[in-house]
Amino acid sequence: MNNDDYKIHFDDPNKVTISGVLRLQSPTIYDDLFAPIRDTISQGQSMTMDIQNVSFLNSSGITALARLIIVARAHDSPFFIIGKENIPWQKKSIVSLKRLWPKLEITLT
Amino acid sequence: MPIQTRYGIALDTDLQKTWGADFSIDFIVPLELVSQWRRCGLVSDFLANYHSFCFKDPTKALSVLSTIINELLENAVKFSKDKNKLVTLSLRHFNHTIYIETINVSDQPNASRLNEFVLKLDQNNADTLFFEQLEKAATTVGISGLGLLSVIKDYDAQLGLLIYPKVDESNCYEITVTIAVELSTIDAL
Repeated sequence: MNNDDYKIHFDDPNKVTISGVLRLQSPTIYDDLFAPIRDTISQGQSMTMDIQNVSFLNSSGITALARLIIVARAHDSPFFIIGKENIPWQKKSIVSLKRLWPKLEITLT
Repeated sequence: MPIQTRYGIALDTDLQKTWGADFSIDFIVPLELVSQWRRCGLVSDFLANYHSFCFKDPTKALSVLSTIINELLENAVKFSKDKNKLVTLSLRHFNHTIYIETINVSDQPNASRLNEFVLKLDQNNADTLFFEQLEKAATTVGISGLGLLSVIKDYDAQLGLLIYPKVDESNCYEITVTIAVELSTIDAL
């Protein structure tokens, strides 16, 4: 799925690489975008999200990400997020999402 | 009884009246047009860029300022009464603090929700409130409301809120949201 602002690429059914700027209007719009991810984790399968090249994600996006983590938590599906240490919002917001589910694995490169 | 609220920082008046803003812009984002939504991000990036050179690490400052400005702006646009109504965005760098302010006109339900939000914020830690809201938003379709909380929590920002009934329009409220963030907080990230 591509747009002028962002790219979402499934490397395989269990790994997605997202890049660009995600500032969509509401969590519901993100839910549509993240539907394939939700489907995978709803089946108890693992998911790796590589967001190292996401320069911005607004609070609606954080909400949508939290929704995915809560689905993973409900199905005990291993969930990995790979981010970047030097992107301030990732360092602050993504790391704090672990509080929703301590089993969430976050790696900042 | 009309809602009237004065909460937090910058209570006296808005930025322009107090000091004169470094930069102020009035604009309209027609919410019905999804393509126009990008304007929030474009304006945020521009204003952040404009101020980022004051910092030790301009790239990092641009990222933080754009994030904060965008959250304020998205809120102001989303919660404007008339979806084509004007939103004013101002930015002021004073001593060691950056003040970002939005002014928009909203209706009674939105004014009431904001009022309840600051009452909760007054009695709870922003961090605790953020996770409560996040769990709630994760199971409720269409509601987010986490923008301000994430800014306060992640960047140790202070919030000011003014809600005044508009004298010339019934059931309309002028809402001023101010966020103050210390330069040292951004530099230390």
